[in-house]
Amino acid sequence: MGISLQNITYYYNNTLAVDSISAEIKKGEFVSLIGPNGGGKTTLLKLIIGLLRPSKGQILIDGHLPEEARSNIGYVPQHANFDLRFPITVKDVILSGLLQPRRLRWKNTASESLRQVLEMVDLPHVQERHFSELSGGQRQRVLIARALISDPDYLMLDEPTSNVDAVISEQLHSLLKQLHKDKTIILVTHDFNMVSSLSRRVLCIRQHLHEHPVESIHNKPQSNFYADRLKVVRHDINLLDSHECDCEEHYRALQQAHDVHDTHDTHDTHDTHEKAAEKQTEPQEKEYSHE
Amino acid sequence: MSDFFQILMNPSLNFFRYALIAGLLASPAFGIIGSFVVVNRITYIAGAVSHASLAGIGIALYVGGSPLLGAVISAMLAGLIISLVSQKGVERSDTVIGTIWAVGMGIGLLFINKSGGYTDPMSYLFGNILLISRSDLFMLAVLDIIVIALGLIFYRQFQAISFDEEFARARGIPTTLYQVMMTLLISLTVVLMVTVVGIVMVIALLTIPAATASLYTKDLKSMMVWSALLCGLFNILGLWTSYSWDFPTGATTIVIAGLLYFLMLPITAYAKKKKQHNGRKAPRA
Repeated sequence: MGISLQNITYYYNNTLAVDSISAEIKKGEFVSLIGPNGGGKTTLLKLIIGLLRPSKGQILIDGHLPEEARSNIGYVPQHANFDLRFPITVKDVILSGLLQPRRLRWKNTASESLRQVLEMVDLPHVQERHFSELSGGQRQRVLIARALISDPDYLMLDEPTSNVDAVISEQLHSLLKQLHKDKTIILVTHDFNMVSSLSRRVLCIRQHLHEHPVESIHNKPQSNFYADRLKVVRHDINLLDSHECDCEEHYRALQQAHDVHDTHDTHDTHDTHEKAAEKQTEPQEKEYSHE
Repeated sequence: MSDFFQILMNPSLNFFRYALIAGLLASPAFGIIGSFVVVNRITYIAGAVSHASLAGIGIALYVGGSPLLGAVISAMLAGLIISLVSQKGVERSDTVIGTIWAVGMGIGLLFINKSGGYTDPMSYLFGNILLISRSDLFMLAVLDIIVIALGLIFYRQFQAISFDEEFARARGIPTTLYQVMMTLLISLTVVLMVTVVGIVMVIALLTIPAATASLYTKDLKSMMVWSALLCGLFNILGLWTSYSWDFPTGATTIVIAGLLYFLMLPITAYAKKKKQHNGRKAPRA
């Protein structure tokens, strides 16, 4: 049992978004979807959730079509898309996770479920507050609580750490680690810290799918957040060099971004290696940035 | 003020009492539907539907039918087209809305012009709450029942699709169905109110009380309740002021509502700023 992607192709307005993707995700796995912007990560996530229907191929979740398995999927969209002036309390946001097609009212246990998920995401006293009054990290945890309140087996997150700072990213990281104990998690992300320390598998999407083992990434030390992330990126480039796919280019563009941001932190420890990597990747980075 | 109450109690001046009752009866529908209109940022849909209803009114007058029935049909049709176009994204929705708005009005004026007898298009644009009949009051009461019932039954669904349509869809909620239902409910409210108070007052009372309520409420339900109460207040104040100063009632009500909204804007902005400031100063627990 688990998620089965069988030769999935999807066209968005006659443009090929994902092409002939096949993969099996077993129950209990933590899988990261990475890839360049416009590569098809979010599209693939939406296909799995059932928000989009494949142009070709079939997706099965525990042997059912995504439309039939929705009650068993928790979805966390990108929080940056919300209208923060919308009049809604945290309680109402989370309870909307209990909505079902043929039910107009919540079960009697809704209040208890609400209390439990708020404790799970470490926000026990905010249920009557306006959603917009929360910080970015708190809002993201509320959205995770909304996805969890129906107690799904599968949790799917679309870039939960985009637009949040390093501290909040670390908090989410801990939360996902805890949730992974009893949930299958699929994560669309650019956050290499999460990819490296939480995922057992990395699926790189750029219309096509390339799968990479991440065993070596798990051995990274945890001493410095930024420096560790750089090491991961560098290590992955070496790893990916042995695979014939476009992921390398994506990693290098990301690495360049991290290098600019983190030069100060990593200068001493990675100087020689970094210069070599920059020299090697420069032309491809430029090409990528024109995409 | 005492004159105002004396007129209200005067059995020979039913029109004045009816105007007040109409204003109060219209408030729940305006409060609920207006809140959906404001949070979904679709005031322009209400504008397009209300102006498109003029096409139905004009055609009905031309063929000798019921203007109300004509208005209902054309408004519902306009609402349905706008809703489906917005959902499917086959054409830019603002273009379609603008076209329906202008063409609906154009058709209405053409047919009113060619219909027999004298009909003043201005009466449909601005209405006159003082000309309300007993049957109009009955119609408003029925509309209230429909709007309140559907608003309560499908509150969670309407709230969910308004806040995060994609998540609602991911939960398997038939969002297109609810979007269409909401647009048709807006259209029905708009068109029935148009025949009673006129297009301009409908747009004003759909948006201004809800927008004012949104400044200080933190959930949709309380926004609806406050919006309805404000709408009732604006109607009473409008009626009283127009009587006292001999102003047209509809225009007076709109101006009072608008003034209060603009007055509330800086006050709530200041209150929020002060709250944030106090929040920062408060010691952490």
